[in-house]
Amino acid sequence: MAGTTLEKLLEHIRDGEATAEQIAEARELAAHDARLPEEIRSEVLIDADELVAVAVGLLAVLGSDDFGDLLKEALFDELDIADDVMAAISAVTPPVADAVRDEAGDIGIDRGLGSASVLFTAETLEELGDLGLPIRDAVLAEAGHVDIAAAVMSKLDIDSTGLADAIRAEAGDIDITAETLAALGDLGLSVREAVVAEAGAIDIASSVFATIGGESLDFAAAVRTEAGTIDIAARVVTDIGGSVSDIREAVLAEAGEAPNVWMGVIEIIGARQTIVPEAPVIAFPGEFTVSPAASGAHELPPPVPANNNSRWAYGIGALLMAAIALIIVGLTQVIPSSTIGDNASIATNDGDRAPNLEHVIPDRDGGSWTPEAVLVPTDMVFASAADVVVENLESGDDVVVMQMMGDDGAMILWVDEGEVL
Amino acid sequence: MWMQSLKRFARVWLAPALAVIAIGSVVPDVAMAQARRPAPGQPTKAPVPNRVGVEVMVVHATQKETKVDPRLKDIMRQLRFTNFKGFKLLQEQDSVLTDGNDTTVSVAGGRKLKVRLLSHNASQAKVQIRMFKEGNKVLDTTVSIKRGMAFLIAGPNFQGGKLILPITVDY
Repeated sequence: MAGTTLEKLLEHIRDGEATAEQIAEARELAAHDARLPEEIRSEVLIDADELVAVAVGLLAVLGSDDFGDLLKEALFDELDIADDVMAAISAVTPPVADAVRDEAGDIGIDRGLGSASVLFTAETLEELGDLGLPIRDAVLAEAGHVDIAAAVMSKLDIDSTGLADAIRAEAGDIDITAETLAALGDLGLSVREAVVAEAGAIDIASSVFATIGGESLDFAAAVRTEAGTIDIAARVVTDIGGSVSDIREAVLAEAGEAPNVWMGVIEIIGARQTIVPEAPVIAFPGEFTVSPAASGAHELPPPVPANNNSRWAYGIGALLMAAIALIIVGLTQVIPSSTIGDNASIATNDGDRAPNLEHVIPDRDGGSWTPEAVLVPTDMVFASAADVVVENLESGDDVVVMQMMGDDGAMILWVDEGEVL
Repeated sequence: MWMQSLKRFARVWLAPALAVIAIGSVVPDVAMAQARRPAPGQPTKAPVPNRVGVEVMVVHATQKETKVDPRLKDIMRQLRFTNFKGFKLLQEQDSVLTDGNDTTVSVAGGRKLKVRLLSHNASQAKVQIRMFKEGNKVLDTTVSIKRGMAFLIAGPNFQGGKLILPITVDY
């Protein structure tokens, strides 16, 4: 007769007449009452401010009070909130509903309901009003072997990226995220990964910059502003021993001819001039060409001439590049690997995946160097010549098209329109 | 009299409980779909979807500016094959195509880029790419590219710089 006892205790709580012992007993009984949704059994009757509301709700769920219709109405009100949320975020693509439908295939529904668009929650709640069954059991009873999620998501046109917002909106002030994640703990996949994968290429960086107004800011300048006057080079040198002047002299001693230093630095940081295949595909105006496979590459001048610096400026630039390269090498030795995030990796020249360690580039205005080394995750994979076959290539009048390879072997179709810049 | 209490109970307790049940059913499907998605360039035994995502980005590269659009950080290594210093993302267009369908992207400088999905299979997609400037053909090419990969079309002139168009075929 535990059920009867629980309901009496709940009535006492509802009427504000329950003692602390009765509340504790009701809590214990509720935790083991199979008529209540499993997700809430162990969570109810804990918060003193919620006792009355919870008691009323539980009595309605248990069918003890004549509040079945009212509870249904209240729940539909909450579902209406979900509809509003979903409508507000409906512009976000791609919708998870499509993905779910694609995965689910045809939904077969027994009981002669005859339509995949039946809203189980509505059906369930109607029966709840008639039978007084616990909601969860009723939902599960309705679901049977049918993919209830697909049907519900289809009806509500829920999309993935808004799902978390919708859940939060529904949840009010309780931490539904923790409960949800706990319930999903066996999946072996993170919700974040699934949502990100469904959402496509979410440009987190742009969102962040939009939030902080980064569009109009010189990022490097902002970093410098934030960094203050910390002399990274000096600190690195201190950490690795010696002094800046020692290193500069050592570099000069080792460097030999400045151009060699330049090329050495370029080699270190992976910045190469444009290279093209030995047998590049070239389409002259109006010509039709079938691509041969690219078997190798040699260096050619880049499409746009580099700045023709004077000799001394070239030498100073090379010296600075060498110094920065040494600092980079020093940093990789000083910075512990644990400071690098799980989703980040150090740039390599492995060819396929875009590396994520930005070059250190000169700041032309100030003549100084702007460290823009930022570890960022990448998801765009550029095809090499082996991954792309150009089956035909035509160009318009006065247009020359060449197949080239950029850094890391990324395939490029270079369209020279023959106009002077 | 008890309506407010019932509403609060429904909002705080029942709606999240139903959400947990629903998500518990949905997320495995989504996760499974993702798990079946092959790595770029890798064929798969899973059914090949009818729809193929085509993303076209339009980047303006210039010598006059030194700023780099933060949205381009992930692909800067590929963009630096030129000697340009400034890079700005002018536009980005995502399209979903089935075989035989095409999409048109308006590109800076009065150009139009037409991308037609000719065919695709488990390992690669064949696309026809045509660029027009003021109605005149600039480029007409057909390429087969491994699924999930991107390549670059670059070189068209614009405001003293060049346009670079990363094109991704993903499915």
